[in-house]
Amino acid sequence: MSMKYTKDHEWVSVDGDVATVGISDYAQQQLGDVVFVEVPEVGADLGQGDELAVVESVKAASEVYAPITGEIVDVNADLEGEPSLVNEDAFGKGWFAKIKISDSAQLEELMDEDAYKSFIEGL
Amino acid sequence: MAPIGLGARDSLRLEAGLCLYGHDLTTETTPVSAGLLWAISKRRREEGGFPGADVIVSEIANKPAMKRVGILPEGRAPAREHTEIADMDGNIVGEVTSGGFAPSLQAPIAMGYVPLSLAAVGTDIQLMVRGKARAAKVVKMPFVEQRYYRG
Repeated sequence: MSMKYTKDHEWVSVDGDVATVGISDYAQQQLGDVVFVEVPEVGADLGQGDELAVVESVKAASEVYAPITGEIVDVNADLEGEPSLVNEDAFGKGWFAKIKISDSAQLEELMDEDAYKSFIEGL
Repeated sequence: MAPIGLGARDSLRLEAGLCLYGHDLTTETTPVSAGLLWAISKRRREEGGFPGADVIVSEIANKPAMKRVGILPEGRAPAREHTEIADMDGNIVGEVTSGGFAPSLQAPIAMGYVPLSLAAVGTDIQLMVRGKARAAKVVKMPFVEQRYYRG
């Protein structure tokens, strides 16, 4: 399955019953140089829209929200030493966390690639 | 040359250890607690005769309760304005008044007010960043050596 997006510029990529979450390339460009990422704890239960992470850039601290409900099963430990991965590879090495999907219907509400593209064009 | 915005100006300002009015200096702070006594002439310091002189002259004689200090957080998490400052026992003793990331140092820096007993360079303090206590140290300012153009 390809990536899905939220209006808050998170992306979700699904593999089986686990969703990987990050922020979009558009989001990292808007933030500027990312200098710190506070990732959640493995085992945390998050509801859709709960705070998943905090991204600190030189300019500001921004919250990243859980696009779907579920348990955090893995976090990207590389971000601690190398937060700039979010800038360099937002859709790849800059991922934040993996969530065990508890309600796959939530994924249907998210935007697909085309919808997200026209969404950011309208901003 | 390249265009810059307020974020760049603010990080340069903080690296230089300079105060931003409304943040590091307010109607609640004094030049004594802010470490800006150089801005008051010697005669005024001795004779008073200016608005606020009672408080300021007495603070010069008796030391202020709080002092503005430079703060170097350990690790990479920036501590921004209004972050609470705690002593090593966890008591909240002050607040960050400016804080962010210093591009020149590739590290977070901050300034804020702490009680005089914690104001010495090298003192260990804690910063309460989003509910987590993070280690930090009182350091001297400026954070980055000044190279002002003096003509």
